[in-house]
Amino acid sequence: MRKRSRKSMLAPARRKRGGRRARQRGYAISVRGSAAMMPVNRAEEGPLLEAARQAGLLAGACAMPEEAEVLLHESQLQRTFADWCAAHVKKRPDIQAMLRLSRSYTSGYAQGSGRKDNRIPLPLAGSAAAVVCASNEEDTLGKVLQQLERLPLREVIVVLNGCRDQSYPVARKHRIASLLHFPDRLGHDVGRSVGAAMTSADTVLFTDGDVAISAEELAPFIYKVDEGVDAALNDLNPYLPLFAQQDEVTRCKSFLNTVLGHPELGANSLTAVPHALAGHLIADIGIGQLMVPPKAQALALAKGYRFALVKPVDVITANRKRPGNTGAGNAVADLIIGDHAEALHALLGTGWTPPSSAGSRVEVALRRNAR
Amino acid sequence: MQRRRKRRITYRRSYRTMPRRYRHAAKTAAGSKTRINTKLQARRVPRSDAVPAVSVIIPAMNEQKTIASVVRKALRVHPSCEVIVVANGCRDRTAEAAESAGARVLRYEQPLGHDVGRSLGTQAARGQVMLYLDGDMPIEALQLRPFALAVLGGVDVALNRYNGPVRLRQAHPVVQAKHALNTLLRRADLQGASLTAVPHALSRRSVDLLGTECLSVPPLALAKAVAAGLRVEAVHEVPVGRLNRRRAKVDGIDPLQQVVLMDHIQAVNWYLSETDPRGGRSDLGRDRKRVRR
Repeated sequence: MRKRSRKSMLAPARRKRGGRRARQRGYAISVRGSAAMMPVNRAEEGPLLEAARQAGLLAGACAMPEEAEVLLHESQLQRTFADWCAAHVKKRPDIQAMLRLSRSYTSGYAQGSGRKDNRIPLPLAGSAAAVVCASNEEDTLGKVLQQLERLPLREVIVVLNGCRDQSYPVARKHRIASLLHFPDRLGHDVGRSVGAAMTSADTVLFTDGDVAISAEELAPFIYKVDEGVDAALNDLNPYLPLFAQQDEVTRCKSFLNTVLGHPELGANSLTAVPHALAGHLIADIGIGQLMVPPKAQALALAKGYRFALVKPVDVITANRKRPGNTGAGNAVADLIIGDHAEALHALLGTGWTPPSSAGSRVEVALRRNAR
Repeated sequence: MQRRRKRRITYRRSYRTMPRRYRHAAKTAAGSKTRINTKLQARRVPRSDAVPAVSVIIPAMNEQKTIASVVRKALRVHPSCEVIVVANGCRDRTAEAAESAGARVLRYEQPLGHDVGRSLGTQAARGQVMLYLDGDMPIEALQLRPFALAVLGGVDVALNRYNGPVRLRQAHPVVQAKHALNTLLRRADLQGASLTAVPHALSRRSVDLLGTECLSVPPLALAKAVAAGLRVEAVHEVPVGRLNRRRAKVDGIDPLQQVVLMDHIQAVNWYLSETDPRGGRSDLGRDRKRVRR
């Protein structure tokens, strides 16, 4: 009997992530769990969802037959949904609530127009684009573009470099894709710079051609930056092991954020996809910096741009294992550590000073050991 | 319900299991027939004329409570040993306590600042091995000997193998900095070992090569030592984190944290200026000219 009561007392404490133990372990760095702050009240949401469906039904009924051929961002679905949101949704809801609204509006729209529709219209203040870097990704590139077509993107720039396979014809099949084709490999992340140079959208989503991420998972990145944050990163912190087991690259990422006075970002970095950047940020730090992601991050954070973390997309397990990127001290790890060195070098070269300075050694000694 | 278990400090590698090469070298270097495994007897009053084998350097500022104990333990590190206490900015009886415990005391009216005492103490040191301690942290001689013996055995920089608290998702900024610096120096095998942490020992050769000046910024000294190709090893673990005194904090942060972070940044900066902006790492053939500026 006693045994059981003890168990029941201890078990919840152990399971709970918000407990004292959990905070000590550093779980606090995760910023998920925004459900509590959802602007649209759950109780009010039911009728709103139904209203969205009805509005969608109405809009779908007067849809043009050529609707299916138009890209989502200029389609009637997107336009009518944005108008409906402006009229009926007072406070900007969080992305999950918005996705629910979008889904019920689209289901109504599909019913009204009599066509299948799984696109995700979103009311965006500015324009959005995506940059996809691909090198010999014929297997996944099609799926990646298929998902991107479901989002209200103005353009998708596909940077094909060093492709020896069918990537080009695969990408050509998707009307949304603007192709940049380089016969030779550009090198790691250079495609991001090259692709970003081709767009002037207010929000640019960066992703890779090797992992197919669903549109529902990509939408939060665009939505977050559209909201006014300057950069939205994929929050990989929940996937990290304890510091003792972390690899060198992860430790470098954490260190860079810590140095810049943003320990809450944990080990998150522009190195990981997907992420979205505001157009003005890219223009300010320079398009050329994007090819060294940690450098771009360091410069942006040093300039005071706001970074946010969004719900994690597991790209670690999905990442293709190549001979060069597995094992300790691999070539890619070496490259990324070099990137961080370059970031620190660039940071110190710009005359950056740390956010909070404690004063000289003597002052600190006086404060700590004075009597 | 949860019983508090009393934690005992355990040492990963005891003195008895020291690598044989160190033990052997230590015997020959000391030139004595002392059995290393037995407790060495301290000579309370060191002969001032003889050149000591080991110089223990202890910066201290207002540490009268602990300094005598630190000095007494340090004197037992080696039969031929001098202890130099750099008493700076002391408004208490630190210097007197150290002197009566058997140390040579360098007195400075003004506080020198964190770790600056190490430079000045090193200038006054005459030994072949420089062993660095803190005035507020008494560590048993048994735990100090491995550092001195490693240097006598040919290591140039013998570090404390203590990594700090790493069983966390996100480690303390200083712990992160130490790991990151070692990674950039291509010495990830050192993990979080750093010259910032005591105890550590330097050889006469490394002090001559690095100069005493840079010892005031320990991470910089470590970067220089690694870049110079000195033999840097993490030889023994003394979990000093638990021995650290709790200090006043400013906005929840120990002000020293920022100083140590800046030291690491300075070290990284120096290393990158010595090598190249990428720390000598590959670029995997990035075609940088493709992008218009």
